[in-house]
Amino acid sequence: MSNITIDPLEQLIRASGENWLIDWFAPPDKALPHFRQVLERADQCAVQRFGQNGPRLTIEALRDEQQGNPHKVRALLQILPTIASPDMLVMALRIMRGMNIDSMHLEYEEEQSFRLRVRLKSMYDDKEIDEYETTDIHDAVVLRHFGILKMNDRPAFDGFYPLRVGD
Amino acid sequence: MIGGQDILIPCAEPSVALDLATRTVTRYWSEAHLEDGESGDVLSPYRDAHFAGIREILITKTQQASDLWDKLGACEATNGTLIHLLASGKTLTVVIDDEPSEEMINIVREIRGSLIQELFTSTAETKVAA
Repeated sequence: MSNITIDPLEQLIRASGENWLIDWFAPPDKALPHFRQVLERADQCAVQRFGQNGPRLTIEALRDEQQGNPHKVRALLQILPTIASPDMLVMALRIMRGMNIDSMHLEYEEEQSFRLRVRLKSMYDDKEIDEYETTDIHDAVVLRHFGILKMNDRPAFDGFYPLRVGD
Repeated sequence: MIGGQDILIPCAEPSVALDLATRTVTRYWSEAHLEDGESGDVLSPYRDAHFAGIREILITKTQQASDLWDKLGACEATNGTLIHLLASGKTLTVVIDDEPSEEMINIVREIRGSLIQELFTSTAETKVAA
């Protein structure tokens, strides 16, 4: 009898139904090492910002989150192939945990420059503010996961949601 | 509320729809109290809420409003303080007062507008490993 050990990250991805993350990656056998590295770097960013007891991006933490909010883990996984700055994953996690998108500044000139700055504010404490910044246009992938709404006819980006992946 | 009226909104995924609708309501009602409509378990605050397996959420404007609902049920005193979300299949049902306040009408409009985005299908591109 042999024991087959499934990689926990692969298990997380397969359980999320986001198999395309692995299957479409080129080459597919490099997908898991790449994603693992991105998550490890993102978790280090999270620890630097919020300490060991703050929100984490370890595979264990994501597996726990998957139990209660599988759609949130899907949203995080969906940006893994494209994201350039691990800090953007921290930002996504913070939004999903209830931070509001307080302001966003986007500067872009074709084939010249890109800069995205996002400030988050807690929906529970006005003094709790995070700021994130990137100059890599691949990080613009986060924008298509933001919810869009109006509050009494005033604009608001709100929440971070998974996309429905086509067949 | 007195019976309330059901507003049916198409959605793609019940848990995403409940999350999105709950988050929208809590933006209007910052002290909202969230409860699993079936088990009665408290889900609030939003940051700790889990949506997996949840089919109904009762959102009251405040904890006090929730207590009042438990005590008095639907009456003039509790009018305008409860939104009931039910997700089933591809539909999110939002139950609000028979004669809703302007605030409630706005909330439902925003939930509907947000869920339209959720209906879209997108794909994400792959990236070649370095």
